[in-house]
Amino acid sequence: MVHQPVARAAEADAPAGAPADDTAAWDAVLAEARGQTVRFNAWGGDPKINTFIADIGRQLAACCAITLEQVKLADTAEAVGRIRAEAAAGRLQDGGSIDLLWVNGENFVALRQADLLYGPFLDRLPNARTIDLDANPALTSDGHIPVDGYEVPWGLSQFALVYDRAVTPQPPRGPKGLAGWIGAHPGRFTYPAPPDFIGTTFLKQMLVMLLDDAGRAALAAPVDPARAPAITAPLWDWLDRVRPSLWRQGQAYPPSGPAHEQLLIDRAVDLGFAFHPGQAASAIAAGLMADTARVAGWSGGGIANAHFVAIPRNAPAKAAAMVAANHLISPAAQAAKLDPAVWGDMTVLAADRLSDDGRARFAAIDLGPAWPSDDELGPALPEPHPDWTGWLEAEWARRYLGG
Amino acid sequence: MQIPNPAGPAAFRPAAVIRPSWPLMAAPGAVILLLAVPLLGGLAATGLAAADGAAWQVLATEPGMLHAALISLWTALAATLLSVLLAGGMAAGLAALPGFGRMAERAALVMVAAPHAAVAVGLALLIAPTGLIFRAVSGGGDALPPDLAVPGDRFGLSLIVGLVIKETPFLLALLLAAQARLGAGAVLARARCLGWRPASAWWRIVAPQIWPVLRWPVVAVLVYGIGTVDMAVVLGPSLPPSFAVRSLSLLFDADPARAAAGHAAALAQLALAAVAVGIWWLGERLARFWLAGGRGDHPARIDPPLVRRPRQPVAPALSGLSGLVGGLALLLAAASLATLVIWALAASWRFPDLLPMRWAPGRLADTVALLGCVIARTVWLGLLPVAIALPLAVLVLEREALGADGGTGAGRSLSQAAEALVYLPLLLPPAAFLAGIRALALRLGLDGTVVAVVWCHLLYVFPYLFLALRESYRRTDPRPRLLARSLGRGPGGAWVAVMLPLTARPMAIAAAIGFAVGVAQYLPALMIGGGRLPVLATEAVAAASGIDRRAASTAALLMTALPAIGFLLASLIRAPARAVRQ
Repeated sequence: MVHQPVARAAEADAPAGAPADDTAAWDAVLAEARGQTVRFNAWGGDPKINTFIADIGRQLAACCAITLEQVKLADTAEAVGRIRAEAAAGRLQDGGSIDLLWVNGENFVALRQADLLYGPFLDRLPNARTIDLDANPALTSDGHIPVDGYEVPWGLSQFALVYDRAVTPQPPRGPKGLAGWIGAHPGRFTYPAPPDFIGTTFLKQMLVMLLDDAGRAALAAPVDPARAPAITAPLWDWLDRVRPSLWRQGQAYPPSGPAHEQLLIDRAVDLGFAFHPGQAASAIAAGLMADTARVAGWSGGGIANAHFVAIPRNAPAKAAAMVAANHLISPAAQAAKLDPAVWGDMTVLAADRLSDDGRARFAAIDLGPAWPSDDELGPALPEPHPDWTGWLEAEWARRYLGG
Repeated sequence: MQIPNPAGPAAFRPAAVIRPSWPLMAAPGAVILLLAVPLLGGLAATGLAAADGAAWQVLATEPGMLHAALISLWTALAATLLSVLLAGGMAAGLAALPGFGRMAERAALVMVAAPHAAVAVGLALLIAPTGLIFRAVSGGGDALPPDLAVPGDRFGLSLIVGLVIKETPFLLALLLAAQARLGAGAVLARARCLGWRPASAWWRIVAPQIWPVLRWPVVAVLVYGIGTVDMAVVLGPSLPPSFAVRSLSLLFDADPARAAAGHAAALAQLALAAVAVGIWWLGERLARFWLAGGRGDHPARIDPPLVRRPRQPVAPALSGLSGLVGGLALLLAAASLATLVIWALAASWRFPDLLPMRWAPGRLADTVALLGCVIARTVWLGLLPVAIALPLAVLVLEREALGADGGTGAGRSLSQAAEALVYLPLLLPPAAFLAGIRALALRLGLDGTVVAVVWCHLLYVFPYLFLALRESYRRTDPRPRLLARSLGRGPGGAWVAVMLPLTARPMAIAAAIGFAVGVAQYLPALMIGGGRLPVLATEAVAAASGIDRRAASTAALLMTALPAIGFLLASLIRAPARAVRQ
């Protein structure tokens, strides 16, 4: 189910040429986009991603006379709130402040259900043909609602562990092993406090691993408040059991994913989390972690999802936003993104739809020893129904924040 | 914040002998319009958005809000009390060592000019378990960083330290200026003759007299502590964070009901600030009672307490200690800024190496290039408010100097209203009106525009610039200009010929102060800029929450450098030649 990096995948023929009328339509988009400014609202907490986006901006300026400005968000929900407020102020079709948005999950659901996204436009992007939408359900369904061409897949993520091989030769890869490891290494493990994305994903991952098939089936459906406490009881039992041996005795938690990663970099804890298999490799490349840093998958697989870009309905520069989105899924940009020295994020492109030239770009990338093999990473597990996100976060806050 | 100047040249101020021109007449009105419209409009809009009962209900059921409110009260009050005591201790010590006063004032002014966000980022890196302090005591080798939750400790101690190292120099600068005017050295000498110890004499005789200078700045410091977001995000507790940080995350929530609760929380900050000021006021009454030797009367007159030896002398050791700790606070501030330099130049700096193993000054240049637009934007979002505020402040002060408002009636009350309004933004938690301004700007399509952000910056730039300029303007002797007028110069000509050379330097310094205030602003860019006008402050705070300390340090360092350049340029303007004065 995982969309593997194409560098390792089989080769196939180049895509067929586009029909002439499509070409003409896209030329019109390109012409309209010239001179426009795309305000790309994207989480800005990682300098290497920001640098990558700045590079994309330079390429767009050179090729298409488009100015790309990254608006660095601390939390994508801010952008959702802004689009909502603009719509409430009557700026529904135009006059918005966002042209392109890096988004997925509940933020996409919120925008799509309020009908605040422009589209469908995925089919209009020439490079979309190199994405095989049937290869991975995460590409067509985001937050358990259909994407329907209102988002362009940009990258793939899978939840995994980060560790230093020199410090922890055999990292625990399941709840049972992890509980034992935490008991044997008091103060050396913690997780970001939900509602941080990584923290909430950790809860989901533990929950999925602790449940049997019936329980997992319940996670795929909306929350039934009457049954939810019983379904999630194994998770709270597990958390209660390990809590006294957590970092700071579980009395405090790092407030965000990056703060948690900082603890790992500072060697204040021994295990970290990754959403990209290239996370350790890129931390090594950036001089942040020792050369012995590695990524390991969870036994039985990790929660996986895709991340996308979308265009708000009131975006003033829709044409340029489409050109930018098309550029983000070009083989060159996707291959650069895969490079751990650049970012280390998995591609959404299908190897068998790439041209020889495109495949060569991917083959040229050195993933390095810190990138886990497909077996080590394990299979991709589906996200629980988005209802569970809020429920788990609220229940966690009730139990551990004592507010 | 008024500094009394009873015997100054203002005593020679002429009665309304000169008919002022229309810019002078219009200036106070323009100030009122410029400040009152966003301020009162913003407050009203916040109130309107929070007028829904459901908003307050959501706020009440939000977990940890009460805890957050207590954290805010505690950190603001503790930091303010400590800052006042440390500034007092240092001022007392410096009154006895007159030679160092000028030097200390300069050092204090450097810290006043350093932006809050930059100091916070520097301090966070300095005191972290992997910071310079713990590296120095770790013993090297394979040592692991200590298991300490700093910054971001549950009790807000890191935030308190951050506020103290930023506010102590501010209060110290005010105290030093005030005690120089009072002639504190002579007062202390007289007291010594009567058998007082210098520290006791300073706290009991000098302090009560210069206290009025501090009263409003202290309220501003207190309210800043309640309303700060940039310092609290970087240094404050995170679970739950301070009330101001919680308010903002509610305000930014994608769910409209929670966003409405954010408006309610922004409004609730007003109440929180009022509670803090109330507690402070009570504490101040108690302190006065105690300083007056338990008699409860006003100790501000010099003579009775001088003659009557106190029953409970303020322990000199305690005063000395607070002076010493105050000096340490200044040192900590300097070390925070130094930490920024190291991180900005480091290639990789792993614990417990005392200094980075590899340096990469080239990366600093890369970052500067990458941040080029942001740096430029920070500069002009700092310069534009100064360009508006400086001429306006000059006009208002001119009007006062010329006695245009010297009579009775509307003119005078207009000037007074303008002056009172000037301080209002400093005495309110910013979110209380910025939340409403944000809602208004969204409705008017002004969010994310330069106009809106500059206007909000003006709310902070104008007061500081006006205060800085007012002092030197009032001290300027009006007689040369009267002479110029009597020699036939027009009002504009007299101003250019006499006032411009006399006030060029103070104006340049006031402009530099205004620029520093503009560069330091975080909330307007965040809230009104709608993310479209990122400045160095938002970059630094956002990067501080990320994993790359080098990025955070570089942004913080750059935002410290900008005001420094401003002051450097201002200091190049020479004081007027003696000839002009004569």
